[in-house]
Formats: sequence, structure tokens, C-alpha cells
Amino acid sequence: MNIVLIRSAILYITVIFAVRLMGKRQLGELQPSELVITILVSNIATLVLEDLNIPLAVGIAPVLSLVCFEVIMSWVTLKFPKVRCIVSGRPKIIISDGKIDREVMNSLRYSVDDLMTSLRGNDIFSLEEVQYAIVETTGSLSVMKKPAYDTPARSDLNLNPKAVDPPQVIISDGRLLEKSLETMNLTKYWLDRILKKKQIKIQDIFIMTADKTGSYYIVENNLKGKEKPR
Amino acid sequence: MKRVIISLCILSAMIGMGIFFNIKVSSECKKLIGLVELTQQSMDSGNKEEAIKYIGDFKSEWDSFYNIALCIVRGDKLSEIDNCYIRIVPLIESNNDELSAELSELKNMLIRTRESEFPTILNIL
Repeated sequence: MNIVLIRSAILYITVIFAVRLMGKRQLGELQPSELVITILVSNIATLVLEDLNIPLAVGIAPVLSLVCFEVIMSWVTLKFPKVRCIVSGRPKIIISDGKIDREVMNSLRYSVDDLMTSLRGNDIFSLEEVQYAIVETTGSLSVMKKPAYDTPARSDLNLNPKAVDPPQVIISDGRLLEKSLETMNLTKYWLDRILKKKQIKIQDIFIMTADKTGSYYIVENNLKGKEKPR
Repeated sequence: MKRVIISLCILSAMIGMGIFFNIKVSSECKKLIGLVELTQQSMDSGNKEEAIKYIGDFKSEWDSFYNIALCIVRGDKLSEIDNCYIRIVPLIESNNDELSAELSELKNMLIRTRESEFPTILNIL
């Protein structure tokens, strides 16, 4: 029993290391090769956990080697676009100028149902709204609506608001994140002034966010377990 | 780029370890096969004491190899070889007819273990 426990712990650390080695890019939208590697790694790890006859090193080696191959392949595809085309393929334009390209649909084995499902996934329920649609190498569909059906942007309404970076968390669960404060070009003095005005301490704050303009939002850490916004 | 370098280092380390274990398993198995053959020869020439000595050498060699082999060879394969060896000692002492067959089986298992660690086309497929 203890052997299984220790092997599980070692494999857990190995898999976490392997996933971190692959990098953040892989944790988002996965390319086909990345998806295959992710599934393979989990299956291989399971085999080693289930069968105590398999030496741990023999179980860890394929996990690490697959991930290393994937990292090296990612670098190669970055440097050589032709390799990228071979490994990942190219995105294909399925709707252009509001017209569906039947040939591309057939080459992708993309049925009408698949197309409508993907459009509905993009909150589009009518084909006449679509100006341009492209099937990405991950299989997802990216859509551009016709201007008449698109949500107007502020520039369309001749509004020119100031561009501001989003707020960051500067206090998390009663702890001050000094690096975040620095990133927002805010000072401890500014924070102390706010806290004094609100008559609250850092330890009593669950979340506090602030942006570069000095706008802030506080969620108090109520001792009874319910967070109160301020 | 850092990740690529780390990946290359990990792959190089694994290739190095693989080559090391290949050589280690091969040389140890060769020694053990040699001892099995010497045991067989001693029994064939009627020298029981020499056969017991050789099988004793086999035991000590096997015990030291076993701990290393556990890292790379499946546990059930090693258990089979262990079980085979355990049957041989009483067969030598009782001068049993089945000794020859058991020694051949042991030798065969060691050969298979050695061959299975080499990256040949057949092993890969």
C-alpha cells in the first residue's frame, strides 16, 4: 500500500513537471499533436500506477521523453513554417464574403450540422450574419460577423475612451502583493491612505483590486465567512 | 528556448542512462549465463561440489544484480528467474534428472532478459 502511495506521489510530481515543461501554451487551445501527447501522458502514468511490476523509471521515461519531443517539435515548428504546416496543418477558410466554400467543407469532412453547431458555439444562429469563418488547426471555428449584425465598438460611435490596463489583485486573502502594487505604479502610502479612510486593515481584506488610475475595489473578509464588497 | 534546452538535457540523460543500463544488464547476464554453463558442465562431469560452488557464486552475483535490475526490468520476469534458481539447488543436491532442464530454462530466461533490453527492430516492434 505504501509503495503505491509513494509511486503515486512521484508520478504526480513527474506529470506536473511534464505539463509545466510543455508550457502554458499547451494548457489552452491544443493542437492535434499536443492533445495526443496530453492523453498519452495520462494513460502511461495510469499504467505505472496500476501495475507494480513495471519499474518506475520505465514508466517515467516515456512520459518525459514524449513531453521533451513535443517541446522540441514546438520549437522546430516555430523556426520552420513548412514543418508547422506538415505537423499542425493550416487554417482553412470555410466562409468568405458571406459565401460557403463547399470544396473546403468536403476536404475537412465538415458537415452542415458541424458548421451550424460551431456557429451556435459562437452565438450565431443565422448563416446570413456570417461574413467570414475560418476553421483553425485546433478544429475550432473563428467567425467574423457582417458589420450589420456585429456589436458596435466605441470607435463606431466616435467615442475615444482612454485605454487602461485591467485592474490587478493587490491584496489576496489578507496578504499584500507588493509586486502587483509596483506593477500598477501605486505606492504603499496610497494604499495606507485608502485603508485608513475605509477604517480597515490588510488582514481584514479578502480581495482588493486596483488599476493604474487608482480606482480600487475591496471585498472584505467577514469573519463569519461571507465576503462583503466595499 | 530554456524549455528546449531542458528537454534536450533530459533526453540526453535518459539516452545515457539507457546505454548504461543496457551495458550493465548485458554484462551481468553474460556473467550469470557463464556460471549456469559452468554448473551444467560440473554436473555433467560428476563434480557435485564444484556445481554447488558455482551455483553459490550465481546466487551472490544474482543478488547484487537483482537490486539494479529492479529499476529497469519487470518484477515478474525477475521473480521467474528467482523461482527457477530456487528449484535448482535441491535438484543439484539430490542429483535429479530434471536439473539439466531447469538449468537450460534458467539460461534461456537470462538470455531473453539480456536480449529484451537491447533496442533491436524486433524488440521495438
